[in-house]
Amino acid sequence: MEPLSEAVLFILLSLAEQPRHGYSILKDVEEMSDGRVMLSTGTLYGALRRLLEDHWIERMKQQDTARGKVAYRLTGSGLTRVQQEMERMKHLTRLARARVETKEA
Amino acid sequence: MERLYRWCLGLYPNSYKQVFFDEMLEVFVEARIAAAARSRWRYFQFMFRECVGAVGGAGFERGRSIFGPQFSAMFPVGRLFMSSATRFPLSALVFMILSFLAVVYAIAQAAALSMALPHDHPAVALQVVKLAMPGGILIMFAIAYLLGIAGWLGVYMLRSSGTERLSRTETWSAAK
Repeated sequence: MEPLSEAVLFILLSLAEQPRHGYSILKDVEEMSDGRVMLSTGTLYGALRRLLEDHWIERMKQQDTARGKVAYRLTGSGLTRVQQEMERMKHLTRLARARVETKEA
Repeated sequence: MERLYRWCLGLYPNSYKQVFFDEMLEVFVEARIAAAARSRWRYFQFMFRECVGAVGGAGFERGRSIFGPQFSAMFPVGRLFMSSATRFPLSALVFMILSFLAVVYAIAQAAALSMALPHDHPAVALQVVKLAMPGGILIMFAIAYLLGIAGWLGVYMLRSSGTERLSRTETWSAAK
């Protein structure tokens, strides 16, 4: 299983909290990364299209807005993938800590 | 600006536009208003990033519609590999000078060959060589250097706009 790219991980994390529409995802990703990752609309929708194809996210109509914007939400398999990625990162962190501590000792 | 972005979106394949065109335009308009409220420089960066992102995305989707889902694996698009490319390498300068000397040498050899070989219209062949040496070549290289500098500036702007920091957006695994 390949590690998720930073941009995809940020998008999935953004949707893990709550369903969001495109602009909300852009803002949230920028905020989460402290302005380091700024997605263009083209990049965002390219990623969303691929995530939809993989069934990691799904489209839905947001009912609470007047215009009924299209929003995206994480699916069960999307959540599983995020959890797998978290496990991978935890493992990596544990490994790194152990190695660095060995070196320091 | 919206018209420019619409034009960029027009480059996407029809199947993609049917699903995402309106939505992307809506997001762009919202983001543009926010960027314009910040500063002129931020707005310029935003427009640059959006147009590059849309044109790049359109190219990617076009490739994908032709070659299928494997297209992503065929070409490392979705990421601009520029960690070292944003620095103008000294080796490039050396390479350009060597290229220039090689071209001048090749033209000199061609001129000598043109003189040595018997042909019906020597004046025509020599005239071409005379035109190319050396001012024409220098102008040609000056234009090429200017284009190179413009390209490097484009890469630098991409880097400062944050675009280059985006890693690949593919989600597939090798097993797929």
